[in-house]
Amino acid sequence: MNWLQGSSGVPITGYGCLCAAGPNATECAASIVAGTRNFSYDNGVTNARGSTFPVFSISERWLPQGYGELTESRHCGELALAAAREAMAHAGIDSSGLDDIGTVGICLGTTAGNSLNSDPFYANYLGGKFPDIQPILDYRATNPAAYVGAALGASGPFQTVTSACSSGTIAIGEAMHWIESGRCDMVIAGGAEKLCPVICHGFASLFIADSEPCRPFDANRRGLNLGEGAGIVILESHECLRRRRAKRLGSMVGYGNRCDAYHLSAPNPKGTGLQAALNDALDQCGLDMEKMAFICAHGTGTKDNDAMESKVFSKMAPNVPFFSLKGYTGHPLGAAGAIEAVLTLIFLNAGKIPASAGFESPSPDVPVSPTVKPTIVKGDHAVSDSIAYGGNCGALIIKRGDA
Amino acid sequence: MIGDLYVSGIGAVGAFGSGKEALKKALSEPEDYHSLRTVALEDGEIPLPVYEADLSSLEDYFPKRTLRRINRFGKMVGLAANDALVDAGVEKTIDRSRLGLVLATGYGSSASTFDFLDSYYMDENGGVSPMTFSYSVHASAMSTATILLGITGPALTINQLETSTALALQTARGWLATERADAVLVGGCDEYCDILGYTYAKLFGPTKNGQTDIHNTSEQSAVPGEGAAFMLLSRAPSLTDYARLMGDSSERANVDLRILGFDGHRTHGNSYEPFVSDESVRAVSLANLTGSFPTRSMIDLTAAALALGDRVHPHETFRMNNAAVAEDQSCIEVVVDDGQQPSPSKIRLVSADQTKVQ
Repeated sequence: MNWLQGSSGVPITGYGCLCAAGPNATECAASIVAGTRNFSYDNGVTNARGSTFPVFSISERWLPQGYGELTESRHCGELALAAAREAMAHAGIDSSGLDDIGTVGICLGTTAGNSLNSDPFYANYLGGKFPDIQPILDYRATNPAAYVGAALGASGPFQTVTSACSSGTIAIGEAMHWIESGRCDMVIAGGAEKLCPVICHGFASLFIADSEPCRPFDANRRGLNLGEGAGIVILESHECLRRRRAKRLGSMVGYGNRCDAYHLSAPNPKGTGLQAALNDALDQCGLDMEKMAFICAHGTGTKDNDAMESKVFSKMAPNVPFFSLKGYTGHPLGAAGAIEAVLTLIFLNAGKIPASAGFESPSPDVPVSPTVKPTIVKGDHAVSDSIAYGGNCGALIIKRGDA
Repeated sequence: MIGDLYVSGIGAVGAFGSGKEALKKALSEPEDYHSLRTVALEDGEIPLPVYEADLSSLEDYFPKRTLRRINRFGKMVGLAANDALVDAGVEKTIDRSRLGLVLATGYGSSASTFDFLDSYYMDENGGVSPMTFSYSVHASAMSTATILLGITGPALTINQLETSTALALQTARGWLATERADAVLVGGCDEYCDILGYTYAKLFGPTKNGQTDIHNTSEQSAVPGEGAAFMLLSRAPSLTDYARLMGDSSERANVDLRILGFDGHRTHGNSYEPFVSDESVRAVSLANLTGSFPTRSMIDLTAAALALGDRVHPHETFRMNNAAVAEDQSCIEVVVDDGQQPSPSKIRLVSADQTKVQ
């Protein structure tokens, strides 16, 4: 038995989120339960074959103040910062209050948000124009975790996780360890992603992007739509919680991180990596999958992901309701798991989950079906899972807050 | 508190070659490893020395067919990680479901990222290469290594510039302490690409002779490099361990040698001065073995393990101060300045012999 088993979990005392569904966590959850889908063709990309792929971009009026004037390399960090500030306010911490807390770490997941890939710089370079290297220097200065840490005056450690689409989930899971091991008193954890048109082209080139709004788990699903945003949770030690007299909104009680070691761009159809990650997370808190109130699935809308994921659910928890949020948020890559963790906690505390947007027709390769309407749920725990490009799988088990 | 860890295998790839024997030779009988590239600037082309990794031994371990599509970054990671398993003698016996992998990187697979952008900008119709897209994803090397080596335990890529190495070690410690894994391959990798060369040339101009001036920490003399290094870590000691990586609660130990992370960047040079000035402990820099890249400190760590385990002492040419060589080197401190923390990180390794006595 490992020394985390049997613990009461790591308290969550604040959360924040912004994405195509809304400007903050509460409005995102309300919009999703209402069934609103804010996709955009205007901000989408058109590929060489003339297909236009919609995206779930954040409405300009919800973006942080001054966002448009900042260099592009700062955008990912700014989205994370906006969600972090919301989470801190929610946790009752003012922006100058981190000094009194002790060791405050930042652990953030992202993918494209931390790539050395400034488009205008590179276009000029290829064009033989000898561009100024400031965008490269900006890249070094805008690492998302360090950017947020510096802006908030956190003491560190700062860690950016780039494990592709599982990054947000893995960042929160690792942050949970930082608290459990005594490395930090508080961790601002989550993920952030800025939409990048070049990445949209990349997914289209793999034929896993849908030119219509995505349809996770549906018979007619054609792939994903990209999204953007950030999700942040404030995790803190029990001692810190007591000292601050903070309210426990929920707890992180289980974390799994496994690989399927199968293929760079396709999941193992048997779902071995996801099953192992779920089992590790369940072992940590001593719970059964069937006791979960619901599952917030990765559910990208791609053929392979949804077939594999639903097979795992049918095997481990055939009667537990599940849904995908990608039909409301798009796929915000490294931010996905973090946004979904925030919304999982909100839905768990509310006892109500949304319909899985885009699902209409059951598919022969999807043995269990997601929710088709907002549904009342009972139970104290829920699962949020992520499956990354390359086969890394992450799972979080979240416990509801005090009534 | 997280306890000590044991280094049972090492793997390294750099301009010096790959594997333990190549690193051993490079430490004790160093040669000049840099090659020469040219970089185009407004005023014409200038020569740029680069420490490019030698991957020639890759096909000794993996079939050509398997390697055909893997990018250079993934190959470096796969080779160094595999070397560490083979070196530990556990490649056929280790339980891959209980084996974790943590990869530290400063820039990720930058060459593939720019190759992907090439395909985007060069095709007038906006067509892009799905293969280069796949390898441009930051986590692709981690995934490549887990696929090549069949690792189904936990895995993570950390992308925190020069801090990545220290963070990766902390993550490995955490996984082992909480029994998420029985052993962890912890490593780092960064690659050279044309954009990096262009950036060096624009920022620093021509480099003198391909050698970092390790005796002058206030002068800019960094030469770009690339490479990867991995260590196989576990909680339980074995008879063949190279070294023990000291944990939070370890006893005090007298440092016999310091391997400093100084690699010719004057902006970090001051941080290393107190260690160079300490004439009671010999300080060395391995910059002229690897060149400069964000996660080269992982190579310093494998060199420290090798020095302790196989009694290979870094050659005089790596010396940064006049301190005498300690007769019995049983504790080596690897010093890494990441530019983000107020003071450099100090990671201590002690000899496995000492472990057995205790």
